[in-house]
Amino acid sequence: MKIDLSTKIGKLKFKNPVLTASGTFGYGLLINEIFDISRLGGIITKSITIRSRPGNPAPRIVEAACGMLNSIGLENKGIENFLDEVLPKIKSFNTNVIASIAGETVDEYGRLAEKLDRNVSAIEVNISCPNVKKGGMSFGQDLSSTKKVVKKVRRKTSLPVIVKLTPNITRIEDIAKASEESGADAVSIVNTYEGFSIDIYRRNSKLGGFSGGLSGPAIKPLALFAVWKVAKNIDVPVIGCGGIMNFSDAIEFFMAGASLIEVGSATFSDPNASLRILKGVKHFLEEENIKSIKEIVGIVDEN
Amino acid sequence: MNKIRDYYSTVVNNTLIDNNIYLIEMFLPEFDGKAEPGQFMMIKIDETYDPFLRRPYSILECKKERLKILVKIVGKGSEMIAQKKKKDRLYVLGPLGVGFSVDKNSHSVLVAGGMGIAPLWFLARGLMKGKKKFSIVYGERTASLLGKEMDKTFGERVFFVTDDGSRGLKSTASDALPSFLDNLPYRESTIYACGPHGMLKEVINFGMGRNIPVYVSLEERMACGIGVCLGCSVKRKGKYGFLTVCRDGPVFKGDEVEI
Repeated sequence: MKIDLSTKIGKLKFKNPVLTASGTFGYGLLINEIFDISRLGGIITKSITIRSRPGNPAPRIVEAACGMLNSIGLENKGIENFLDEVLPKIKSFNTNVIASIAGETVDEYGRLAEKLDRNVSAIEVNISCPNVKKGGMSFGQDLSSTKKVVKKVRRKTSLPVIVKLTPNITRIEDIAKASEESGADAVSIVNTYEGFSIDIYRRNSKLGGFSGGLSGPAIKPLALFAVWKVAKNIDVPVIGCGGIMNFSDAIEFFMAGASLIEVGSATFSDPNASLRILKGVKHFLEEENIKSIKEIVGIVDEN
Repeated sequence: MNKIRDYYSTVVNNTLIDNNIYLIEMFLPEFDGKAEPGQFMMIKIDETYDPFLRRPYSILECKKERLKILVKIVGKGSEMIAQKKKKDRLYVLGPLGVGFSVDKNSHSVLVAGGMGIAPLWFLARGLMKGKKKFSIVYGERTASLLGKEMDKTFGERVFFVTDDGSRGLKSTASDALPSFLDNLPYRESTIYACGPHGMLKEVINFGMGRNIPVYVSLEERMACGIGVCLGCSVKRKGKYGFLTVCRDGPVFKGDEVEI
């Protein structure tokens, strides 16, 4: 049986719905040494900023029960370095390359989108990073800031615009709706949950950046429910993300309403995770006699 | 660089060699046995999600389809690895990182503190095989069975230092290093060090003061071990930004990093 795994965001076609989450896959180059990443539906780059950022002080990682806290702080070499040094190397990947962008101001988001226009397959607007002092999550926690950022990006590029949302808010569905109304072609749900961990002997946070973002299986039920709430409220595709470790987690996200998924920190415990999940999804559809992934998207609802 | 692979491996032997320290030997199917001293492996403890992350371990020794690591129980993850029995399975990703590059024209002085011996043991075995002269300054709190093992393997090449004087000189490895070097009959030396943070700092400062090249193997919390999470960063010395311990290291030139 031929299984149709393809899907779309705006006009952009994806050969399958498995993507890799920003910040967990670099720019794909290192993992491409382990498996052929062109087999994935797409990769989302580490967030790119206008200027080079050194990131936060160590320790940047602390393990939590069934997950981890990170406080990396958007370490990257800036947009010019990305365009000159990184892009030429990743352009040849036979898959969608989605650039994640993070600005300190609305204007910076616009400038990043403008510079990336026509250079990548799509843009994911990161308004949900919990680990920076300026910008980041503060945009995604406010309706009017969200609208301003998304509208700005929308005006500066003809590429599909995906908005990555923070779950650290009372009603994520409102921010999702605002993103859609401001011109987003899709929303990614969710970025990490804010948290921290204390060293009881030093009486201080275990993280150099004090607080961090929780990811991994620990957040899966929370993320899954956020996807379900949002998907029934908007018309554009939802990309589900949060603790997806295996194919059945992925299928849950599709059934909750995600059209695509992002594999995040699973890659840290298994660099082959995204490929393994893709194969598992395909196998599940075959076994269950489901011809197209679209048949199960959002199939679960309240009775 | 060798191709990074995830080996579904089997424990062949697990021996308690000292208080809380285990020597684990594993069978890695299809592993070609090629790795540099200083490289490490990321070990996945089991199929559950707690602990969530793999644990990095220096390669103690390896050959075709075989790997040895040294595990000291310091927390939940290491305790779970230490409890593995013969025939238990572990996922082993590697070999990872950049190892030691040995300067063949100078005398190698290996400075190890406690468990920091693991990557240097691998280096020393290689030097021995290549019939190269080298010295080891081995510092520990108190005379251990691990030290005895070193004595058996490397004999008089090892200069023992203990905090309590129970074996060798009563001192620390970094304090003992200057006079040890002065008494060596070689004009040029290169230092390769691994151990506690404080020791490495002192060894780097000493080397820089005397113009002796120093290479250090660093430890840091890691999530991925392959350079994508940017979790294990170390500050560059005199330059902007960070390097990753897992990809740019774990072995660095002493004057390259701010520790």
